This record gives sequence, structure tokens and C-alpha cells, in this order.
Amino acid sequence: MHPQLFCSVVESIANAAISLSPATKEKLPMLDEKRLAVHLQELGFSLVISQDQGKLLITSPSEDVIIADCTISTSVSALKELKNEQQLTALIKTDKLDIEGDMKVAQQFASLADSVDIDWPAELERHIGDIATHKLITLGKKASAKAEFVKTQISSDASEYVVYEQQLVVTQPEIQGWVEDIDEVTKQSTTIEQRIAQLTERLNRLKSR
Amino acid sequence: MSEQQQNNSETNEQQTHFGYQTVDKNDKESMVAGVFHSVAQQYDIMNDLMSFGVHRLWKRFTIDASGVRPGNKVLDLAGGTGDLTAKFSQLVGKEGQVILADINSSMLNVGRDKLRDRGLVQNIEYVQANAEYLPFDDNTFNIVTIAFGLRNVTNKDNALKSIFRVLKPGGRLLVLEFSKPEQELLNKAYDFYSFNILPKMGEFVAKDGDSYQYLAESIRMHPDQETLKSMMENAGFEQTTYNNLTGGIVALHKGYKF
Repeated sequence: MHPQLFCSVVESIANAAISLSPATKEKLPMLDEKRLAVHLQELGFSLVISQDQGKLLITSPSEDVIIADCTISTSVSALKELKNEQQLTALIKTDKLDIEGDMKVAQQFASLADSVDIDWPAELERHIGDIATHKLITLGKKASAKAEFVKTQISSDASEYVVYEQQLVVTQPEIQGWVEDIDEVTKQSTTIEQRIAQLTERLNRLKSR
Repeated sequence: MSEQQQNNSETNEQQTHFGYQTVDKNDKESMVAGVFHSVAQQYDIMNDLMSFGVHRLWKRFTIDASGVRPGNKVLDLAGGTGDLTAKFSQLVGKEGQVILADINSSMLNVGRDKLRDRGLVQNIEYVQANAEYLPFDDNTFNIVTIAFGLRNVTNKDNALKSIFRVLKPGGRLLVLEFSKPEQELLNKAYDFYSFNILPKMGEFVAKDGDSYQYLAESIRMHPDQETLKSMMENAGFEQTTYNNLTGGIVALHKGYKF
């Protein structure tokens, strides 16, 4: 029942978003009697999307043959690239996308998804009041600005590191060469130490005669 | 022979089960009617409470397995408060038609009011009908569903034959019904829940513990997965299969008329 649970959740979220976006609501009637089938490789099951009386319907038919105006087989990663019409041919050629039927239907559904524009402050105001909304939004903007500053700072530091500091950093082969040099010096000093010991011993023997 | 088949054969031809009671066949219809007149107003909320909302997924599974297409004619038998009808109505479109049929007028009224409140009016008809004697012409429907209704029917074989008659060739029947859990541990937990918690829940919410005691008993007396599959085959259905849902607490049987 995983497909049904998935469809149920996605359908609820989609319809909630549509109800909050007047522009999307206006576009829904143009999809009347249209059915888009989507098979996403990651999911392993097909989804059929249609609309009825201002509501999106998402089902997952268990039949092998699915009747739809347009059927798309793709992956979640390629789905993001579908927005760019110029990418379509490249995706089809590389077997990342397979389309059967009326492509216009798929584009209409994509355009519907793009049109979702929710006035969050107005929606929030209805639930928690205008003062709380104002404070929350001001706080959100400050947090967003702070996050943007941190992001810019990290990006700038990273660039500086890559451009300048990384060139100064000792590389792995250099460290390896240095370690080998130390080993060589150690070896030589051990040899000298042994030689000194031998000479000292010989000197002592000569003195004792 | 299964325990249930033995129970069935032990029952006199003029008698049938009403939960664990053996009653006269003529009385069962009115006794079941009494149960549903009593619970109709609280039916939806009790379904959500009893199944923790999972009944919505069972019904979605049924819709997805039905292969419904725009323009289809669907009979939602024992449709109660119209959950399946609502979804079918949206999927068959303007060219299609859904008939919500129930033997119980209270359930039918609740269903009709609910669907009308949701603006679902254009392709739905309401018929008060007994599943054993369906008032429709032969070869009328593409799909017939009966969700959580077959176990309340007095003579299930007659109902299956009647459904077979009204289905078009190529049409299919989907029976969504409580069944027998596959795992013994789940079976025991389910028994405890059904006989100890369910009637109390019914008493508290619907002010009718007896009806929910009947619900638990009628589920135990209903044919198990294989027995119901055989009954469907005896009625003439072909390519009969079933899917266990939630460990077999519920099963969806599907059969075709060719």
C-alpha cells in the first residue's frame, strides 16, 4: 500500500497548495479530462494525475496498461531539467526521458506546478494575527540576511583558500620527500655515531699500551 | 474443510449467522438494518477511529486495482457513506456514471448528503437495493465494488450471482472485506482489539457497543480468503485473485466476467 500512501500524501499537499494559490486554481480547468501518467524510476510505480472540479487527483493504477493522454518515464533528477524545453531533446537522446502521447499535456501540468504562488504572509496572518505575523516575518528576514551573510563569508573564505592559501600548503609528495630526507639523515648520523664509537675504542686501546 | 466452511454447513438451510448467533434467514436482513440505522450518523468517524485512518488506504488500493477509466459505469454496492463513490465519480468523468447502492436507507441518506455537500452531483445516482436481487439490467456495469458489505448479506452466493449478472463481459468485481490475518500473533492481537477495545469504542463514540460487538463477530464468521475466492469462482467469475492488506486483516478479491 506504499503507492497509495504516497499518492494520498502528495494529493493532499498539492490540493492544499492549489487552494492557497489563486493563479493555479484558474489554470486547473484547462486540464479538464486530461490525464498525465508519470513513471519515476526511483519510485518503481506509476502515477496518474488528472483534475476534477478544481481538485487534483493522483492515483497509482496497478494495471500494466495505463490509459493517459501523455505518459512520461523519467527519473527525479531529470524531472528538474524538464522545465527547460531546450533540454528535452538531449534528455530523450540520452535515454533519460521517454515521452508517449501529447507532450502539450505534460507541459500544461508543468506550467500548473510552476504557477503555484502562495502569499504566505497573508495566510499566516489569518491564523496568528497581523502583529505576530509581522514579527515572525521580520525575524525571518533577519535570519535570512544573516544566513546569506554567513554563506557569502564562507564562499569568500573558501575562494581565498583555493586561490592563495592552498598553493602555500605543503603537498603530500613534499611531506613524503621530507620524511625520506629525515630517514637518510638519521641513517647517516647512526653510521657516524658507530664510526666515532669504533675510533674512540681504538684510541683507548692505543693509550692503554 | 475450513472452520468457517464447517460453520456454514452446520447451519440449517433456513438459518444463517448474525455475528455468533444463528438466526432465521428472514430475520437477518432486518437485524443488520437495525445495526446500520443505529451507526449511520457516526459511521465515518468510527471508521477512522477503528482503523486509525487506514481504511482510506484500503479504499484507495481498491480504486487503483479497479482499472477504472473515464466513461466507465460503476456500481458501488453497499456503498454506505460513499467513500468509493466519491473517488469513482471523479475518475469516470462526465461521460461515466456511478451508482451508489445500499440496502439501508439511513446509510444511503448519509452518503447522499455527504457527496452533495462536496459538490459531487453530476454523475452519481442513488439506489436502495438488496445485493441479492439487483434492480439493474444484465451486462450493465464495467465495475462493481462491494466494500465492507458482503459479510452482512444474508445469502452471499445469491449476491455474487446477481453481481455477475449485472456486470458487462470484461467487467470486474472487487470485494474489499475483513478477512483472516496471516500471522498468528497478529490474529491474537486483532482478536483482543476487536472484542475488548472495539465495542467500548463503539459505546463511547456511537453510543452503541452492541453494533460493534456484531461487527467483530460478523468478521470472524465471514469466509476466509480462499473460501471467498472459491465462492466467486462458483458464481462464474474468472481470473479470481486476492491481495491481503495490513497482514490479511482486510483482503481485496478481484474477479472478471468474460
